[in-house]
Amino acid sequence: MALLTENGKGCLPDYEVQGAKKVSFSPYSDNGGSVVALAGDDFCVIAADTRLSTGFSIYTREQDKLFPLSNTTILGCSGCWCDTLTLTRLLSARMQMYKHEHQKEMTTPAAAQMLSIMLYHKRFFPYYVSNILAGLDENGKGCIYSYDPIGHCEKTTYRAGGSAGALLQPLLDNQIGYKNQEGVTPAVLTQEKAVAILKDVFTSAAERDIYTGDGISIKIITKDGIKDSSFALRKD
Amino acid sequence: MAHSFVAKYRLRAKSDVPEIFQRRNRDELSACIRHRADTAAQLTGSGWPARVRITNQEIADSCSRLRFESSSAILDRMYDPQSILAYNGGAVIAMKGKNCVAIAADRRFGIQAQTIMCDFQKIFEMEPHLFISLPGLATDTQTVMERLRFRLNLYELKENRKIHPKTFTAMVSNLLYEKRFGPYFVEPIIAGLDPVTFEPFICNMDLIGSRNMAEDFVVGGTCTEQLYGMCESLYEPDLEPNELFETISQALVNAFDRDAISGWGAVVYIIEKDKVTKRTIKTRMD
Amino acid sequence: MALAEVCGINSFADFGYSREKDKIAGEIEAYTKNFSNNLHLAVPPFINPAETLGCIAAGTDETGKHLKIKFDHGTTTLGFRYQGGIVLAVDSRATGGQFIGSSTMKKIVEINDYLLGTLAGGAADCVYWDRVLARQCRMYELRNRERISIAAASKLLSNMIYNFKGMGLSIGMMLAGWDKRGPGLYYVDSEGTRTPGKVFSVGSGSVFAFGVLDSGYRWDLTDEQAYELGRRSIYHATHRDAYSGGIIRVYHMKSTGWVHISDQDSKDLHYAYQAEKALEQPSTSS
Repeated sequence: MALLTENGKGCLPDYEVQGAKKVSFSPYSDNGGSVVALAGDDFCVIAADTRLSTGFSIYTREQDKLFPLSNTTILGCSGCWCDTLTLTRLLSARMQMYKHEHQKEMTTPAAAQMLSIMLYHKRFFPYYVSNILAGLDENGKGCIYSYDPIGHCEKTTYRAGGSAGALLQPLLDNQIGYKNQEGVTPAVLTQEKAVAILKDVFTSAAERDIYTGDGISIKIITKDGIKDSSFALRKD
Repeated sequence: MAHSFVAKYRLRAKSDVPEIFQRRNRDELSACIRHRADTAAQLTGSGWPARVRITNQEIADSCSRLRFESSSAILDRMYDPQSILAYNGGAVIAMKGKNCVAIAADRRFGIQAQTIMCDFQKIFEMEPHLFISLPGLATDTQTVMERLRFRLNLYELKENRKIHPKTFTAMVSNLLYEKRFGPYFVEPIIAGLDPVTFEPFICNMDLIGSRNMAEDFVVGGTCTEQLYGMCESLYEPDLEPNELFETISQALVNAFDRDAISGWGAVVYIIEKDKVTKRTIKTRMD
Repeated sequence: MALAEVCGINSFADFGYSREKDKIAGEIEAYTKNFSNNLHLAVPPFINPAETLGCIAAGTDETGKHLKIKFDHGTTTLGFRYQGGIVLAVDSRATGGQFIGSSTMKKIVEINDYLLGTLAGGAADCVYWDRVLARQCRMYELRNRERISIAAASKLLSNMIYNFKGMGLSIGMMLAGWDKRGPGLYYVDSEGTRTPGKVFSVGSGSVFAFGVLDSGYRWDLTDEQAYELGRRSIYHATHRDAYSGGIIRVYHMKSTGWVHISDQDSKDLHYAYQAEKALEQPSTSS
């Protein structure tokens, strides 16, 4: 009876059935992270933060995002972590196949081209990964290759990528590329300066980008091999 | 009933109102028309009157309801990367120094990819020591600036004294919040010195007037990420005016060189107690 | 393995783990199929990739965070035939959305000594297919003991990308070369168009470039005049178009193969042209 009076019109309310509910599914997730690489005349240094996050929560504070592919080549990845894992797994398998076939390690420029083609393979459903490949070329000179998600590759001498890429790239243009600095003779980039700049830019990025923080892992590639180090960032 | 609407004319909804709201508006109006017709018929005792009149008030009511409902759709659209805020492009920074403040902006006025002019004014002098910039949609930039100038003039006539930057910020915030559900697409940046103590003051706010009074620097426009990155590492507290000029111009120019839709020249104001220096910077023009 | 066989354990019982080892090599092949066949790209797990991918890229991940899947894009490119051969001129900006990803991109691809390709649209699309084309041209050369004609090369390219029509490739290329029929200039795009012509400009800034190019173009230009026309057209496009800029590169295709003429920063060009204009102005006014 209550129902009847409540409705006022003397008839029962419609018992609505929830119809088909459309749930949108996104095949990608953005796990954040930033990578910065700088190349010098006889070395290359690459660094990535160690925070792995999803939305506003953190999966881990110590995830290394640098993947050594050979003694002279390191790949830094950020973006969708599952895509990163698949991509690097395939990449190192291909590197190994090459090594067995040719009895030598793949050079950095060759690895760079291979990565580009592997990314383009997934042209219509791309790997959501921001890649930066750092290493030494055949002449022992530092070189860096940066990529878009479908494998457009460009060789540079400095590059910032990932979630804080847009924050850091103009800074590198200014400090390392000497853009918009008139009457200054560019000094040769030394290892010490490169590492100091890296630490500086990551500290700045951690202030403003919530997906970058906790710490950075730094790898310096020289003809003598790869040297590891790390540096703490803010953890909030 | 000075102005009224003749019902036989269909009301045309503005084309930028989403389709669902247009339909809603029509339904509401036609209900209104029917109601009026019934009333008129009862009053006159005859059948349908030849013409039914709807007052402006009724249309206004219907539209204000509509405006409220559509505001959430507008808010959604706003945060779209290719949104209204990025229609004209622009970049602005303000920084605090030692007894001085600086405010700098680019000079491009464009429509999406097309650059219309390279000497567009984006920083406005409201008082000798008080500057505002309104990056965002260019039409709103100019409208908001004119309305602020009007309110500021009234304030000064009424109070007979120079406005404090903080008070001015409240005025801006107020003006923006009045349009909470159909906002002006500008994100103001204010820089100035206290008219009495000459204390530096900078502030920025979002497009509905939430204030952020920073102690170091504030940025706005279409390349805020780049600007934050630059400022965060170049800024030092207590810079002298000429050092502040160098810092703010490097931060601005390098940031907008990585943004497609801002740049094409830059202008910097350094505001000190006894002088204001305006300088234009030679930049890339692509 | 022998024990497993004796015991009769088959792949169903262990979910195929015992065969995993044999599968790995095949799996790697399967995930990088375009290594062995350049045309074999991964099939997306959804219909209508052009639209669906756009929706996914513009959407968010499960936490509501906006994805940043933005491919590098260009561009202003132009090419024209004149009495001395073909001149190609391009800018060097690659943008991912509004962000300028690179200011030094090489948009002229040297396919071989007698064939150049310019790229506009999706950077990765153009570079990949140019590379595939370069390989096929080389194969043709080895098989037939003569260089491929421009008509054949452009048809190869056009046919390859036609297979992916409607899948969302974005390519607008010019192929310029010199074969036994003389200079050849073709325009090829991802919609399937392939056409020879005299004057082309492709990309977002092409409308601006055409304005300058058409007004200055004549068949009997000298080499220097032709280079300057190409350079100036691209410069004006970089100035007015937000998505063009950086370095202006000019190439010349001659009967003896291509020659790289110049790489100039558009910033330097802007101020050089401005100085020129300032010199001209007093003489015209007097």
